[in-house]
Amino acid sequence: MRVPYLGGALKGWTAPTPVRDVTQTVVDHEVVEIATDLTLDMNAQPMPPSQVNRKPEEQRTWLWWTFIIRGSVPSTVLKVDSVVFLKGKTFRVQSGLRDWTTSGFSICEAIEDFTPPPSVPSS
Amino acid sequence: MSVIFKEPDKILADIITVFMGLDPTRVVSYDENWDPPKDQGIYVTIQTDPTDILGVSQKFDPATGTEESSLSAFQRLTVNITSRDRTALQRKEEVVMALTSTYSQQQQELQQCRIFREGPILDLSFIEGPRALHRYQIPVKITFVKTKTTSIPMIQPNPAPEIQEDS
Repeated sequence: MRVPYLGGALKGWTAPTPVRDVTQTVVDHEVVEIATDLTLDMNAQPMPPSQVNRKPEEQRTWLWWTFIIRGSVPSTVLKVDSVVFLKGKTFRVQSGLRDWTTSGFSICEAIEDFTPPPSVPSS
Repeated sequence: MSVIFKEPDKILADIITVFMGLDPTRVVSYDENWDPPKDQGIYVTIQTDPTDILGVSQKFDPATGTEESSLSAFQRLTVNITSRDRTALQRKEEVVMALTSTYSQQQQELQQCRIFREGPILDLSFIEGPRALHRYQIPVKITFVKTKTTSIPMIQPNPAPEIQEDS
């Protein structure tokens, strides 16, 4: 059965959230992370314990969150290692984006990250 | 004065890139956060291993008040050549050929270093299990000299006597 369109139901539940997208490139044989800032209409919530219990054992102590993004998301953002800022905390995306855009939303999983993210180069 | 201009792993990466005609973004100095290419083609990682120090010397130049420290060392490096298809299996010997190529000789003279092959080509494909990821490891040694010049503040061990007169 097809999932109903939930884009309308998510209205008011999601909020514009600053996201820093990190892309890896190789410059002079060295790995360099380049960051760009953008805003997504999303909601972040702690992952339920039942879902965390299905993670590999060594990852269960990490602080897992689920991001629900309303509307379409550019295909180049929220990949593994993208960084999201929310309420003074930094999150790092652990799974690629699950694309439910035909139903009006997308989902991805992230953990709280304590390492400082790469800075955005000044243009 | 001998100075190394580039890090040894960068020199080696440059030589392998040019000799094998690879895209420079596919020859990478090892970084655990690097996300390797998902396609079938070759990629090379260069890992820096322990360094053997051969000697350190200092020379003082009283005319300029500077000290030149010089260190000669063996830098061990490991070249990993990997591909999902059979290209790495077919081209792994080119890494060894690259070390003695004319371009390599030119770079070694330019960068004041010497590159040696240290051992056989190791086949590490079995690590990936039944999935056919061809992975070969070639140990390499680079001898280099690194120098640094620092200014030395002079001290006077026997200061000139001061004459104090009674007023």
